[in-house]
Amino acid sequence: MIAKNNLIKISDYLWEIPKTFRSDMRVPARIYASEKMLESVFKDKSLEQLVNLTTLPGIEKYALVMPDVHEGYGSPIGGVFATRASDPLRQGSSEASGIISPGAVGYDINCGVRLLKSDVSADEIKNRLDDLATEIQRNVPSGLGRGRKIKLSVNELDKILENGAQELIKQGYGKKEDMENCEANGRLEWADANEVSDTAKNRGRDQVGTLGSGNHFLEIQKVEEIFDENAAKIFGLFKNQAVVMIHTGSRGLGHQIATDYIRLMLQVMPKYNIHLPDKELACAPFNSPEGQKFFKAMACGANFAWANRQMITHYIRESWKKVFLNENNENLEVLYDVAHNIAKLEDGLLVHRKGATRAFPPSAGRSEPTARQSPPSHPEIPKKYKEIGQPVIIPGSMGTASYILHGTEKGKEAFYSSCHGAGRTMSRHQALKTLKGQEIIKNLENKNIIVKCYSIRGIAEEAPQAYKDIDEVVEIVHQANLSKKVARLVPLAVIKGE
Amino acid sequence: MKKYEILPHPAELRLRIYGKTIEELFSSATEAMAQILSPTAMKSELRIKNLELRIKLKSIDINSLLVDFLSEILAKSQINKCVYLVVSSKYKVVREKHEFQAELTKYPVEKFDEDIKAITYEDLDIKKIKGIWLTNLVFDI
Repeated sequence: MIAKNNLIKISDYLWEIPKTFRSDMRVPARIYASEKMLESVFKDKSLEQLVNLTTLPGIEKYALVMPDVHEGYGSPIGGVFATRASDPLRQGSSEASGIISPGAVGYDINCGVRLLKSDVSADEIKNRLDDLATEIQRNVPSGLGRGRKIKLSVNELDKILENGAQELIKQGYGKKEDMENCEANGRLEWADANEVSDTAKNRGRDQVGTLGSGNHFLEIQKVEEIFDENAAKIFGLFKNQAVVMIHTGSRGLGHQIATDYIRLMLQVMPKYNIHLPDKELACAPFNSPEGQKFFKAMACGANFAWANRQMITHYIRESWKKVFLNENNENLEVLYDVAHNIAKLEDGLLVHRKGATRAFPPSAGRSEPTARQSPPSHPEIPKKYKEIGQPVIIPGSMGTASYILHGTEKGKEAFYSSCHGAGRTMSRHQALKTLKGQEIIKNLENKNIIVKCYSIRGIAEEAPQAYKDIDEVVEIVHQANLSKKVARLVPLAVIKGE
Repeated sequence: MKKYEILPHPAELRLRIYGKTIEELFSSATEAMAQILSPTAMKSELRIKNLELRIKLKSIDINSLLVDFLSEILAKSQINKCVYLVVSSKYKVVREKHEFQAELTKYPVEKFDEDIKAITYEDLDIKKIKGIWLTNLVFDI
């Protein structure tokens, strides 16, 4: 067991487990947490899983976890690390090549968040809010039942796997600006549908535009507080503005890609002399045939997730238009769309994030600027955000606040990463035993939050009491300067899958 | 003897699975997954007798075999909108490869109660204690 006396305090918000803690560690492990929040981290296997990350071949500097960390499988949720992508493939050598690990990305490849901004204030829509939430719930399928809206042919699906959300824009399910405001413009260009199994494709064929279940949700929110007027202006946010948040991922297709490649990695690890403390971290050298195959398949999963959020955007726009017919307020612009389960090449390193949000400042991902040059912006940051950096979208738990932040140069010490949510503290099973769905709905309604969910059980499992305090989590990344607060959003209506 | 029980996990679904034999352990795990996906499906009269599923798998060890077996059933459940139960099965080890073959019957599902994303290796350790085979099993949900 890891205890507080195993940790070295680096600052009020950063702690380190030294490399000497366990003989198989290649680098130290770091924890972003306040002293108070640290207590909850010792309650589950998060830190043991974090230490396991440090044993991965080719890992650089340290493995780290964000303040919303909790126990997962393989990597803890909130885990971030980077491996050397340029390592040549060294088969049978004791010197390890930098790896890629499907389990350290997670089964829900490109689980992520998108925020849509309206032109109107929450007051202007409050009389039709219930109608809007009902219409969105009706229009966006959870994907857990029969009768989905779209069933794609394998050929159509392959186009989405390789072209991502851009394919749907081409087909009329959105506008060009949607992609300009999306991580990687909604498409990882190295995706290769040939590396995705037929089983994965069949799992995904009827899941484009579906929300899923668990902690995935849609929320109509309002901007309650602005912390940084300049950044908010650049992001197009204003106080009391009505916005819509989408939280979902790559559904069964992504889950199957991860399952297929964890199996493959386990088979080939002996060939590369890779020995790990946890099978769920199964991996292969990034520059091995198997590593490259997964990288291409993972990109397909990521593209599918961006397409999924694009199709849901289309359904929400349709719903909005129907409810506010002739009211001239149907404009819903994408603020940004960002993954929190992904592995990407950034500045020569392969950064794995599982439950962590990329947080680029204007100058991130490029070599250090000279004194004479202004910092070059990362090509993935939309032009209009160059001055302030990438919007960082942090969803809260059901019925609690969400946040918009922006990346900072200091974030470099965390491979330009931030937290991804509140982080669970109570198991779903425990939540079901101790919390009553109807009571939670009543509490939310007392706070004037509309809840649309077909499953009372789903409400109990995702109750705010089962999560850490989002305000405390975000305060830590803000105080640690990994990203800075721009706006706080509060829910007006929550729409859940099953 | 109970077939499975639910244990705490902060975010996922952790189960303990039991069986008098390896075959029974695999069958209990399949039933647990079916119950979680749709507790009402197996009460249905709509069992499709003529469309049973046959699975034959080889894996590097017995733990991987269970993950591979359940993963295949999970994928087929989602694709075919049904849950499966094991009717008959056989486990053996041939030239250091662990093999499992099973015949399963399926029950149609109108709407899944839970979206199991994947079967993980977390906490998985099949062993025999006092004559009973058991293991923990974590589903990503």
